[in-house]
Amino acid sequence: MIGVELVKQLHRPRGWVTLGLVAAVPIVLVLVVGLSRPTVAERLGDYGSVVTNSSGLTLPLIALSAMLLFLLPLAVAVFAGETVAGEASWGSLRYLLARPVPRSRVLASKAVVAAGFSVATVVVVVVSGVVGGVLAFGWHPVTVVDLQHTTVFHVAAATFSAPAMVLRTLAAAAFILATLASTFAFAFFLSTLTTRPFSAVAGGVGLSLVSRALDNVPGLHALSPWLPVTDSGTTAWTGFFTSPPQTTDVVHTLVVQAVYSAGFLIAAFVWFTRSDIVA
Amino acid sequence: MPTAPEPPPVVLIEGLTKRLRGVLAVDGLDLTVERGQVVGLAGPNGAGKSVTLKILLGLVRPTSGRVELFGEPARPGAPALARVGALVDGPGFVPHLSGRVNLRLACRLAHLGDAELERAVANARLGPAIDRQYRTYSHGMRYRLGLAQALLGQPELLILDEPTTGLDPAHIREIRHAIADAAAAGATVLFSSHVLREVEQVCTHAVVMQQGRLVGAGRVEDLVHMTDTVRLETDRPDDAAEVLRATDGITSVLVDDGAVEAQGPALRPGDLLLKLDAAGLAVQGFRRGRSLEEAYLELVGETAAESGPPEASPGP
Amino acid sequence: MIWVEFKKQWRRPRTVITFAALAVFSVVLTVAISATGSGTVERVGDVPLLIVPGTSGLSVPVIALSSTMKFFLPLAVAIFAGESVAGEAGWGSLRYALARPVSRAAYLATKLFVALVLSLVAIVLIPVAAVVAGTVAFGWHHLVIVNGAASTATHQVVANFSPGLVLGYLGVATAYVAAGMMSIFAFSFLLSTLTTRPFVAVAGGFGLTIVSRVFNSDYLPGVAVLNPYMPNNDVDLWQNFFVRPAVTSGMAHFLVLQVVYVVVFLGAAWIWFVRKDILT
Repeated sequence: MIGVELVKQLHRPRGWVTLGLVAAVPIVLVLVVGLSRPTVAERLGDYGSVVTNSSGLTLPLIALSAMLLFLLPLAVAVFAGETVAGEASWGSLRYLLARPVPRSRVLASKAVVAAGFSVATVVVVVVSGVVGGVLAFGWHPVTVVDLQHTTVFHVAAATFSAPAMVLRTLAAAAFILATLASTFAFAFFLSTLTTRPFSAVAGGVGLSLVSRALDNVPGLHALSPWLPVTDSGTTAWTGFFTSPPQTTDVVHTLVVQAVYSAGFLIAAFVWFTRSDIVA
Repeated sequence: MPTAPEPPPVVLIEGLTKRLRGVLAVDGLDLTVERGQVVGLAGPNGAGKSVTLKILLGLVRPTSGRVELFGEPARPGAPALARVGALVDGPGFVPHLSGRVNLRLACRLAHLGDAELERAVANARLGPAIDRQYRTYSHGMRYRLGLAQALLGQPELLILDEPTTGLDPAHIREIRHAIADAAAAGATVLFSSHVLREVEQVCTHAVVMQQGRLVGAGRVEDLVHMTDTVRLETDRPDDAAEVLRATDGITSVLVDDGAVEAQGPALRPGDLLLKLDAAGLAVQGFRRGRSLEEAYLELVGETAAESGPPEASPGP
Repeated sequence: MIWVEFKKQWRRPRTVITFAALAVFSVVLTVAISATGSGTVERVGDVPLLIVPGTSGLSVPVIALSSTMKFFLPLAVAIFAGESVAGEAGWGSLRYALARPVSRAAYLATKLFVALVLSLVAIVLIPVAAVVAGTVAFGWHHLVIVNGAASTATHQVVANFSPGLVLGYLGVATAYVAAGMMSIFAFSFLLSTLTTRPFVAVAGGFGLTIVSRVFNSDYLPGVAVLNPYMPNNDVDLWQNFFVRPAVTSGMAHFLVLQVVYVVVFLGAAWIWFVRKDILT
């Protein structure tokens, strides 16, 4: 079943266009950074900053940083939101279901394929960033300045060898994937509710945006730890690049994502297996 | 000597009720379909035909009642669905894939081999267009592909929901042939339509629904009173009517729209014609039985006067 | 005709819910602030302005306007503008509305006017409800604002505003924010004439504000050159009213930018709508 689903999705221009665009962004950034600001330090979230032209290995992080505000949630929402709603809009969902197969299996195969594409998106960004960055700036150790502990008198910095950098970058990418999980699950859930994929995608992106907007309202601080997508949550991975690594936010964010994702996915399964398919 | 137990009916529906968005889409429906029958589910739009078919396919959950497919309860993912082919609410395929690839995916899901795929491709009769993207297909082509998919694996039960909607007469004839071929091969066919003339031509049995209720069921022959009614067109219908009333074996005579309808058990139309001729009345037109449409209207008229739905099932 | 249009749009669940949500936002905000400590300092905006909410109810409209101008207000405006024509097309009633002895330009103007009025009401609703809720919760007092950028640990730059003055500034600020929403409004309206799906028009209009913010040099390196031309970035400049000395540079530029965008988008909408074939 997963094979069939893969064939359906692999042939879609949408999938390849998204991955292509996503791969292009780090390349564009390489060019932009290389041409316009070779010695300016780039900020990464709350914790640290780096100097870009010192090493191409900084590029994946800068690219991820730039894209996780909007582009990555959008890509993930597209893959998740199109799965079921797309079939419903084509009119082929009812034929997929009028078969001697439990509905949960059908839904699971769709979820797996969509998740695969989402993972691929982040992987593509990292690979593209590494390749482009290394070609432009070389394979060197990276120095990360820890802004939280830097004072006028002492600059707190950590230097990572190239292999260590790659490892931490992969960890950061995995974490970022985890922060996208709630958006994925919500868009997936919406996909089971509507016959218009656009609505599901927009809803997924909307969750990300509304959550951030609420996070940024002064006075609603008490709400922030419970929101699915927050500025601090999505950038907690920068804590991997200090010495010693800061992981308090990381754990909390992972728990929040797990709860929201589980909630939305369960809702999707319950709804899908129980609802009447009239479309 | 012990005899083998009788196989369960292909479709068994008892007391089916479905409330959809506050409205009773199906209201206490009873229906049985036996092997080899070609059953037409007739009725106006909104009669509940589509919903009933979707319930059989496990797409919609009944509010109450008992629905069985090949003796097993009909539910989402029921194993019995492997023996069913369907075309419901129009064909639905993946637009960016070709017709062939779409069929191949369907074969894979149904665990059917390449031989079956080739058969379906031939069945669809789309020529080179089978390798073009589905989204480029015309309405008629889409229906052909949909029918080919429904016939994949030679299902024992074919469920077709309004299969001829929006099709030109040539395509309609194709569908009719496909149904006849399937029936000849031993399949059971259940198809719904609001064009009663179609049901009359293709089906062995008919079930008439209205507002979610059953208003009539039985063999098409019986419903149209094939053997006991005759309709004659003549210039002087009133005179003809008088003559017929005086004939033995005629139980009722109606004059309607310039024609005379005579009813009676074991009619012998040849004798009636001779009688009228002897009375100097020329007969211009002649038809046995009523049209299903007329029968339907009569059934609907009757039901409006009754309080509850009649129970019936088409016998073998 | 305008009256008929008002009646059509006023009672829609969409309209009622949007208004209710915006009104409630200010109330919820006030409640949240009181519940979690109105004595703590809130950082507002990019300046940043440091405000202790508990000292004056007039802090609430400042906070409310700041937090809604970048997301909820553009969304509300996109909804009203995007629904106007596309909604009619989606209902299938557009062709009947146009097959009458009324010029298309007049029809479009009616739709535009009503959508505009609703948008302005929505925008004004935020500070008005906030003033009421804030005053009830924290009282009608002078507003004390610390300039977060100019202050250091040892020396705080403080500005004290009388309630009347704050109200005056808020009035101008609301008008400024409303003007800032016009580019989004016009773009949504243009999309509304192009599509039969209101959702697309709304999403597109809102997308414009997203694009505008993404092309802000904070998020993407190297695109600072585009920043002055983005339709929705400088909508927060009104916060500089509350800095002493008041800084108003950049606001005029932003307003001119809005006019340009509005003329371009509405012009395109008009030209397209007057000429196109209505097939739905």
